[in-house]
Amino acid sequence: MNSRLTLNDAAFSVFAGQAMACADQGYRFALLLSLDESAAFDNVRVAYDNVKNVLDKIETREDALLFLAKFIYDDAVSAKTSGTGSGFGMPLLDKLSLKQRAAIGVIDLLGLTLEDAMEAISCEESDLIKALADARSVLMA
Amino acid sequence: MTRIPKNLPEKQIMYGLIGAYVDGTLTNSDRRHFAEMLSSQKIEDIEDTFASYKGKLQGAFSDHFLNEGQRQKLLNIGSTIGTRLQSEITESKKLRFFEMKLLFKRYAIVFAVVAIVAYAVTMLLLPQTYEKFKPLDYLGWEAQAFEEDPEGRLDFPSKDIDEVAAFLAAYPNLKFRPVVLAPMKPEIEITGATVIDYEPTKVAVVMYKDKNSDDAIMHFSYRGRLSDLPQAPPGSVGSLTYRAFTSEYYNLVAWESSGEVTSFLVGRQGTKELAELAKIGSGR
Repeated sequence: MNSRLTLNDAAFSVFAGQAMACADQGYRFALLLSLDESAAFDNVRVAYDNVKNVLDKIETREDALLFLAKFIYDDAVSAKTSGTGSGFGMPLLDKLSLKQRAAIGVIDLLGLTLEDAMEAISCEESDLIKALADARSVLMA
Repeated sequence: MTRIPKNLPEKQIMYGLIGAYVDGTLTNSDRRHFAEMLSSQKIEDIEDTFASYKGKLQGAFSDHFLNEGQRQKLLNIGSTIGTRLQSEITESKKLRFFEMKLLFKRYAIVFAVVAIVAYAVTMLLLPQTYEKFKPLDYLGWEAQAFEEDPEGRLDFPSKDIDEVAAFLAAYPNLKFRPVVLAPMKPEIEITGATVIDYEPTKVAVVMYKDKNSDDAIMHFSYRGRLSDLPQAPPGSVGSLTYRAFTSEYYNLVAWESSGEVTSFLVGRQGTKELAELAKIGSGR
């Protein structure tokens, strides 16, 4: 009974606290990846379902954001659903690859550190910097 | 701190690490190296361009957020089985407490109704209880009251023995046949009669007066047995068997007028004289 209550407390803490505090940020990241509102929410919903399995690894808001970003990216990769992004004020977004959007998403949108960003989108530092550079050079042009 | 990876083209380093450069997270040597690259590429305004791009990117998505329904769906995902179970237990406890309260109120109402009905039935069915009639305690005082205020106490003042007998015989709900003593002596005259109600015992009273001494003589009779009176030495005059008692001011002589009627003759006379008067009056 005690372990159930501990898990229960953790669920409350994470989902009603840290993870829910990141909900809008996670949704925006998913939106950046899919460029489609409906797909973005499905993406976030799947991510939250997966977060349930790593409750013991989440202590801070940063932890929650990192795992949320990771699950959102993983789902976006497998879903391969993408809209035009025409409604987001940055028409050039749909010119970028998913990985490029993910790179600017975790760094420039979510504000993760390079280390966390590499873990979130499962890539090496050079790959991350390359994706960032390619995406920024397009959007900053 | 962030280090610039080797084997990356300068342009990728500049666009890839401009954020780290602006945020100051590059190591000192890499920061100097980064600044030199910016000078050599003659794109010094890249910092402003980066800030503008970042603002546009964040602005493009800042208007998008989860609505309440979507947020609730996410919360429901977060609500694990344990959470739901705990929630259900809490709800169940609340419900049980409410039910117990309701049950207690119902029992209280039923108990109150039963108590009221039981009380009402008891009051209706239980025979009314009265204090037992105690002639020796009461009749001495009654005699004194009659002597002090005969007009006020006698319901039927009369000097005619037949009228007095008729009055008592006709008295409603007396439940015994009161005895009216026959004339006992020429100087003793009857003055009237009344009935005292010691619920449920009714006592017939006939008052006499000794014209010589002006003393009152009271004859009380009621439904009861002589044997119910406290033990006292029995006396007899002729065939009249009596018991004699005394109170503060009077002597009392008691005898059974009939099987179920007891008489008391109360006066200032001596007990033997009272017994003699009773014998004469009762014709024994």
